[in-house]
Amino acid sequence: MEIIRHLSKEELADLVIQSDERSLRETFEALPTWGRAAAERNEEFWQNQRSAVWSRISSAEHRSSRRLPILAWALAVATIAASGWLLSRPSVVQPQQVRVDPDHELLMEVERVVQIDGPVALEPAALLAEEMVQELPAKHSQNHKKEPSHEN
Amino acid sequence: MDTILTTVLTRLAAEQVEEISAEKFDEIMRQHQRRVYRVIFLLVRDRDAADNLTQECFLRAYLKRATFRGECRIETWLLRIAVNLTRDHGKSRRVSFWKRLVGLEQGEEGGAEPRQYPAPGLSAEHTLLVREELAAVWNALSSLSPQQRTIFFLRYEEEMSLAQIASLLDLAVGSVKSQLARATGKLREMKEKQWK
Repeated sequence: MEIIRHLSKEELADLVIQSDERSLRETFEALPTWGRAAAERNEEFWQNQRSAVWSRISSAEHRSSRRLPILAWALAVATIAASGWLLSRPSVVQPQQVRVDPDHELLMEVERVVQIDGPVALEPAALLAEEMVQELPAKHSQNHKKEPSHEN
Repeated sequence: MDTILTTVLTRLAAEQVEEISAEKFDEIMRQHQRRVYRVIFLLVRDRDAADNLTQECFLRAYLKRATFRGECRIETWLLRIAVNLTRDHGKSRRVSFWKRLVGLEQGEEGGAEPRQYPAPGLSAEHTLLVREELAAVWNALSSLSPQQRTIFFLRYEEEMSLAQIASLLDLAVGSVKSQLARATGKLREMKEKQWK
């Protein structure tokens, strides 16, 4: 009992087969003869079978050789149709996306400012204009304070 | 060096394809048709079906002969095709059985029973005895799966080794052994009932 517990499935199968082969020895020894006898046919049968196989082979080859040009034609038609469709498609021009480089933009701005720098004779006028611009928001805020409230 | 190697390999490949020419295939068929037919017949138990499936087996082998690269013996390759065909045949027969059962198809009665097979060269008595013995074995194994029956017949009727059977059926040797043990067990049970 202890030995059987340690046997693997395969070893157990081996034991069962060996035991059955011993008890059924006569049957197993006779089986090849029975099989051969049962499947025995006369020479004409084997010859006819070979002829039938060759006949089936030639008809299968004939079928496949007939199928080959059909397949080739189908492939050619499909290729022509696909290329026709591709050529007839209206060419849609993709709008080119303009990418703005902020560094480049800044550089251009600086250059523009440097290049449009006004003549020296106009410098006082420019300063006056600057002062006026600076005074304008201050005055505006004072006037705003003096205005009476409409809410009251 | 590379050129020589390429030439040799090309020649070898060409020889392999040339190995199974039409003439060669006819010779292969002569050599193996009896065995292929016998294995199929023992598995399907029908002479006409066995003849038809043997033809189909050689047809497939011929059409796929370019795929045979000599990894196994040509006989093993043919028997593998034959066993696959009998498996498909069994499936279609089961479908046909259910169709007959629900009245979708008209079929012969008792299709599972072995047909008469007068064996030439044997006496009438011997033929009868062989038929009875084989029918008893078939009946004992009828409750087994098709694969177990296939393993049984390949082992004891075709006298193939367990390794050969495993290679043919693409199974592990251990699996072949356990399925064979089930088949021999069934046959032993049947014999024990007979003896009682």
